[in-house]
Amino acid sequence: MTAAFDMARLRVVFGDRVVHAADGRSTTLTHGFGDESFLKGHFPGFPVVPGVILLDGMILAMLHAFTHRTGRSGAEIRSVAVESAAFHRPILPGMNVAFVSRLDLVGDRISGKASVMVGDVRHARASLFLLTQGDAAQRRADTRRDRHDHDRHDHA
Amino acid sequence: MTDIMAGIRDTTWAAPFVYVDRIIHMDRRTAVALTVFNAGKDRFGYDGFASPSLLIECMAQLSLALIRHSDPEVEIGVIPSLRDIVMTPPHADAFQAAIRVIWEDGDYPRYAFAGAAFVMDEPVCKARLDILATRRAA
Repeated sequence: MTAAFDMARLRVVFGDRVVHAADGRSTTLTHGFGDESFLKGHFPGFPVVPGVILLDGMILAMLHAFTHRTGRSGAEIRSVAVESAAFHRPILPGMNVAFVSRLDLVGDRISGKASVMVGDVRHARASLFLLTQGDAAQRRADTRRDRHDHDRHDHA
Repeated sequence: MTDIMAGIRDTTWAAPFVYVDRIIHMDRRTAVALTVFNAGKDRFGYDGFASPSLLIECMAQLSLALIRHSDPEVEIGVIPSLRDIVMTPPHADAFQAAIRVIWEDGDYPRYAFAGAAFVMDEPVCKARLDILATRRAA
C-alpha cells in the first residue's frame, strides 16, 4: 500500500499560483520565499532554501502539469523517480521563484523536465518520471532486490 | 573519533531542519540512523506531510556525519546534485524511518554517497547524493 504525493499540503508552502501555457507544453508554479519555518534552521543567520525543498517544488509543478494535461488526479501518482537533479545557484529569501515543468506523455510513460528559475536565470533543474501504483510496485520490488543483493554482498 | 553521534553535534543546520535523531551504526564507509516523523513543530514537514524529499535531507545530514567522523574539521556540506532517486510517500503522518548511507567514492571536498530509507522495513526512498564539503576557517 502506498500513499500519494499530497498536493494539498505541499501547497501550504508553495501556494497555488499556477499558470499553464496556452500551447499546453509548460506549467509554471511561482512562489516568493521569505518566512518559511525551515529557513530558521537552514541556516541560522544565513537562510538558504534547501535543495530538497526546491526538488519538492519541481515535483509539485510536474503534478500540476499532469493533472492539467490528463484531467486525472494527482493522487494517482504514487512514486517519483528522478534521473538527475542539479542545484547551480542558491535560492535566498526574497527571491521570486518560478518552478517550470515540461511534461512528456508517451503511452503510459509520464516524464518531464523541471527547472527553478529566477528571472531568466536557472538555479536548479531535474529530470523526472511520475509513477502510478503499478509502476511504484515494480520499483519497490527492484529496490528490495537491490537491498537483498547488498546485504548478501555484505555477508559474503 | 569513536563517538558516532559527534558528527551531528554543533552542526550549522538547526531545528526545525534537523533530520537525524539517532545514529545506531557507523563504520568507515557506512552509517545507519533512525528518525521519527510525527508532524511535530520541532521538525519541518508540509503541514504534517513528510515528503520523501525530506528523507533525502536526512541522508545528506547523515552523510555529513560520516564525513565528520573521519574529518572533524569539516563544517558544512551542500548538495550540488542528486541522481537515481526513487521515492514513495510513507502512508502515515507519524512513522520512524531507518536511513542508511554508504560512502561510495570521493574525498574532501567532493564525496559520492548512496542512500536508502525504510519505513516498517519497506523501502520508501533511495538516492545517490553528491556532497560538497567545506572545512572550518582556520
